[in-house]
Amino acid sequence: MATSFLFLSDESFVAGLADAADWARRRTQLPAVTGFEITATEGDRVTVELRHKPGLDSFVGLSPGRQTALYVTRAERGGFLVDAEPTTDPILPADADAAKAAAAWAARVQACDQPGARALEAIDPIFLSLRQGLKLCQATGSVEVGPVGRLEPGPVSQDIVGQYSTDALTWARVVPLTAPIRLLVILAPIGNEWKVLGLTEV
Amino acid sequence: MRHRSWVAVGTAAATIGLIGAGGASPANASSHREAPAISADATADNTDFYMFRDGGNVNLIANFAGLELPQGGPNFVKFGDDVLYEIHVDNNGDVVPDITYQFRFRSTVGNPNSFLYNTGQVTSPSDPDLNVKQTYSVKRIKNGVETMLATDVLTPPVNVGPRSTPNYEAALATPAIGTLAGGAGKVFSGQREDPFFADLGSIFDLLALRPIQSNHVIGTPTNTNGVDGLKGLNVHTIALQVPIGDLTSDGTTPTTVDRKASVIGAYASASRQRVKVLSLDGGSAPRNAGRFVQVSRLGIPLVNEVLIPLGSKDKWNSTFPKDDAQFFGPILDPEPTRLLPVVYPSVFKAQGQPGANTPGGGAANRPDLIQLLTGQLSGLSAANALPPADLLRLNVAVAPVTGTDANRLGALQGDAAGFPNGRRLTDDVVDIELQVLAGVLLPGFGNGNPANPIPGTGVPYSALADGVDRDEGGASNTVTPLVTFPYVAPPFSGYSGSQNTGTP
Repeated sequence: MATSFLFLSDESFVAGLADAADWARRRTQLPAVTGFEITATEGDRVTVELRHKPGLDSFVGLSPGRQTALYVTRAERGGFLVDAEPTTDPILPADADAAKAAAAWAARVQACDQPGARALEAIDPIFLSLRQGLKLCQATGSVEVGPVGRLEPGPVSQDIVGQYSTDALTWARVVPLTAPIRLLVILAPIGNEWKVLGLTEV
Repeated sequence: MRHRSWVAVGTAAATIGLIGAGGASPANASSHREAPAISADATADNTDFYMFRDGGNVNLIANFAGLELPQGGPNFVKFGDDVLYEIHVDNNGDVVPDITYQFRFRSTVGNPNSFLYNTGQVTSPSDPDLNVKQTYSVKRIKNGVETMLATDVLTPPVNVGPRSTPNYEAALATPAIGTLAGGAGKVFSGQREDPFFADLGSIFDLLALRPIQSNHVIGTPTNTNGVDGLKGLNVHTIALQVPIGDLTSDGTTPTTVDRKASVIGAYASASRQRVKVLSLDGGSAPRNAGRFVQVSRLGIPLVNEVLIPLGSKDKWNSTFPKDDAQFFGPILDPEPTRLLPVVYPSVFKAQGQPGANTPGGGAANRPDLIQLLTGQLSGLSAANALPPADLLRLNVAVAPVTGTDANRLGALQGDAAGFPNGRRLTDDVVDIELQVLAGVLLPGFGNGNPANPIPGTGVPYSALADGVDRDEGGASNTVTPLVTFPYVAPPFSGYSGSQNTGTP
């Protein structure tokens, strides 16, 4: 941490970074980097693919398995230094896979396979906002899901946003379960997979 | 002689009262609503921080959401799901945290169609009849390495009343004590009785001290006992118990008192995300974004409340101990001390006046405050003094002593295990700091003995007291801390009407 601080540009401090302790404190709010690869350079912009241990917790929010970071470099002090805060975008699994994940989870719940369903959930317990309870176990009929959508601001997302900040609106996906009962399944990207984060009524 | 003493002390009380009117009142002690911004954000308001040894463990206790009415339903007080609560420990003397414990909470509502907090009798923390549940996770960052110590630990419900939450401590609170990963530590988060005690009501009333209020400049005929202004009120507690070796720089339990590595410094804080966006139609909760920024901190009790000027209090809450030098001007020239001769002219004389008996300001005149900030009042010699900062210091080589009425003045009574060497739940920090600010520790003033008179008077330094010596105030309704973790006493129930009766 102390070494990386030495590579930060003067602009980082203009933008509000105070000192090495502040740098260390900010890093604790971000996923730990386990690896990286420089994928492109264009002028003073450097694109890096960062790797993290995939996870979701209330302290740093989503730790995507892979994330694209665009760093701005500056010619300073006889070399190049880096702005402290890059622009980042998580590399998410395909949206289509979210529908498959929701269907697989629903099938296990329908079979009353709680351990099996739990393995497909992002956290324990998942967010649940169901007035009538979850009546999917032993429901009859095949599982059917609708198109994948984004998590929108509003009552459906408020608990999740409260826990993981507005960032959740960018990475979470919503899949409507249309049969055998109607539900909205909210999913989070954990590494290369979508996992169920919460449920709410349609 | 006795009458003369009371007159003198009465004048001192008036002095302190005017200090309070200026916004730097000890009545805010310890940190309930101590700064403008955080006074509007109780959920994130760190009211008190305690740290003390128990056997081979250190207990770190941070309280939030002060002045909490037990009957405050149906939306009872809880921790903030959008607040990052932290306890920081410096163990190498550089005033930068080496270990940080983080706490994040999550609430769930079982039945959103009911207004009830509980839909039936609650007999366990996980009881389905508890409609509003809150869980939390604990993470440790130690020298940059992050470790999740506990996840989804249940908090107990608040103490609603005998119908809703019977057998509260055994059935609800004790089962909510969590074990930290590795098994060598405990954690508890939940509602407790506020262990802080001070005569808030009297001090806010132009700082009259009830035991001597007949001598107040706006006198009241009869002197009475002090009244605990926090009587019958609860607070939300985060309590952590860890082995001493988990906190020291070399992982050992030190035995040499005068050694830098024997002293740890700690403070608690609360942070919120930088951006909060309210819903236009009220249909959803506010959205929070951006990194967390600190909005409250507390190490040594009363520093922000009494020593930091009103215009700097919010800034103080947002800064870190390593940057405390920017505040040393007002800290080392305490406004309360300067006001003593102004409001108490019959007792206190300012520097430059004949018979001056109040300490001057600045580092040269306030070695006592330097010693407080550098760990020298926690057993270190000047040669081993640590950098000055507002950290609650604890010398873990000092054997623990149970806090009682008899040692409520801690180091002022020669008890090296009491405040300011850490802080026990029973330490009377209001009286201690009143007397310290008046100069009780200084050569030529109190010479370290509260029984000594203020120079040129017959008034002992010990007379500077609010008359509340224990939790809940009186001998008949004293609330005693638990003898085991989480130490803080059970909360008053909403049904009890405790703010009127002072009984659980």
